[in-house]
Amino acid sequence: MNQTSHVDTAYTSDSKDTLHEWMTEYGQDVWNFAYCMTRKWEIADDITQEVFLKAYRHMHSFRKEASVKTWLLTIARNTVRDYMKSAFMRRVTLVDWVQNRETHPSAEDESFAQMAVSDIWKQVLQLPVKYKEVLILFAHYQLSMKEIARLLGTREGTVKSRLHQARLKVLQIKERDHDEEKRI
Amino acid sequence: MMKRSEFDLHKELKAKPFKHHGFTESLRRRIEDQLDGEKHTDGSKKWVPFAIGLCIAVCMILIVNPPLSVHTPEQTVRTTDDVETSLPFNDEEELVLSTVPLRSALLIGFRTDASNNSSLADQRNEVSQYRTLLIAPDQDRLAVAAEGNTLLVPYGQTFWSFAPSYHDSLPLSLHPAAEGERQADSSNSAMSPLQLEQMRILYAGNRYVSIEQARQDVGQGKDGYRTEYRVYNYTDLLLTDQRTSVPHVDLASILEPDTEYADSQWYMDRAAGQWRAIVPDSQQPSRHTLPDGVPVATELPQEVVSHDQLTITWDNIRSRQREARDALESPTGELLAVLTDSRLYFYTIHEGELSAAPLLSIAIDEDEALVMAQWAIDQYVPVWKDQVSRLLKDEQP
Repeated sequence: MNQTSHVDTAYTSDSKDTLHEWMTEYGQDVWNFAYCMTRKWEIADDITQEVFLKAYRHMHSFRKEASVKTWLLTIARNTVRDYMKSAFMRRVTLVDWVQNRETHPSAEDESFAQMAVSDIWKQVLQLPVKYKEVLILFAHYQLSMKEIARLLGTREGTVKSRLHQARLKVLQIKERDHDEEKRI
Repeated sequence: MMKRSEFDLHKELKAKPFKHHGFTESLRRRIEDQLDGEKHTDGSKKWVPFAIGLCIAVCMILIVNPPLSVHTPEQTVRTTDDVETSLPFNDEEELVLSTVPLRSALLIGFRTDASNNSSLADQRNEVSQYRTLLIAPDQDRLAVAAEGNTLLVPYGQTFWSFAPSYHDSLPLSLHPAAEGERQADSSNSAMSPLQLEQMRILYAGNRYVSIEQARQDVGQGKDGYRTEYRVYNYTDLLLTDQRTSVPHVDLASILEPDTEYADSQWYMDRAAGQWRAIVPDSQQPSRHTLPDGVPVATELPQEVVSHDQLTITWDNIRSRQREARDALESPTGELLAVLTDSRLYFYTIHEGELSAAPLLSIAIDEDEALVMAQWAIDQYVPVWKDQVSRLLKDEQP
């Protein structure tokens, strides 16, 4: 109804302090999630900004049924999804799709490969988003199946199944990489 | 039991993924600057840089690759679906499940007027059509529990519908929906019912109805009709003795102590997710257009509009449906209905966030106007499902 009321009422020094704490505590988690999903540094920055602005505007409605981290990751996942849906993002993704099939990796892919700390992370980040998000939320962010199901808006059974598929796909990528190394 | 390879995978993924910190001090400052900027604006400009970029990108695409044809609404929906399925998320599973307990059901009514191509005179002779749907939870899903071509309204302990009146003193009659058509005082059949085609219901709540009525009056209006806008209380419609005119609701009386609108004609209209009172200041140009008027700044009291609050911002709503033209939030705050020109979507709300995908999507005609929205919660949901399903059983369109 009153679109500005949330913003107006939420602007208190307390809520700013809270946001500051949240950014210190979870800023890197949110950014990492956004980067894992989009593989674009600038978009990860934009999404992270959007997540914390949304969290600030809705701080009054956060009822602590979930942890702050889970809540922020929920907002991050929805924001990533919105970006993915935009025509702009589809266009960028289409460019990537073409580039990924070229003989030489793009500069972005190279920097991306350099970003990951380990081979296993490089392999996980190659997964399709729906498997990647489940595996990362479970293994890296240590969320329970129930929390992931709630975050994704799906059933626990679906999460379990996607997690299983994700692990299998990582193993396949690992084997493929291993074979390629042997050929070289 | 977790296999060794799975255990290793999870252990390795516990470690940080990247060598560099993406959440830098400059990004933190950027967010804080944006917050400070919002202090002085309505907060809706955060998408501007992105929107400008998007507009430029869309313009470039249109210049290079112009659209071949105009899509019909059906094609547009299909096109949207095609885009959806190309997304890397699995939308099919997310469309129908709720992860929060669903406590509300929505009884929603629409009106469709005569063809927009008709002349004013023809429009006068065509009856507006009405449609009622009950959207209710079925475990963790939402579903259309009932649908029919009658406008049903909850009042007291049961549901009612409107019928033509046989008396000049009565603009329209209200009768229990369970009685069907036999309410219409058929004992007095020598009298002609006032023409339903000369009346449109603009709003129907659980106590009040707002109508537009065209009355023949030579010398008045473009086509010899004078159009009146009145609001009536259901109790007055039911208690009329047919000898005296049913009193209409004076706007000043419900906006007490405001007397500016005493004796003004008024009607109820919906804009930006809210029912509002309008005092018309001219004759309507056609049956499809309500006359210009003065929107009354004061919010209508709850006894008139029942529950009519939105806590979700329009930015948030449009992040799910860019073409959203109206939205309704359940009194229990877990469900949001979003209306576009072609569909009615339902999303869950959890911790102030809308679900990523809708639970339910229903086709709506572009010219269907929302005239009624009433919520049932908790123990009343099964009661409404049962009663409305029975009442609309033979009414399936």
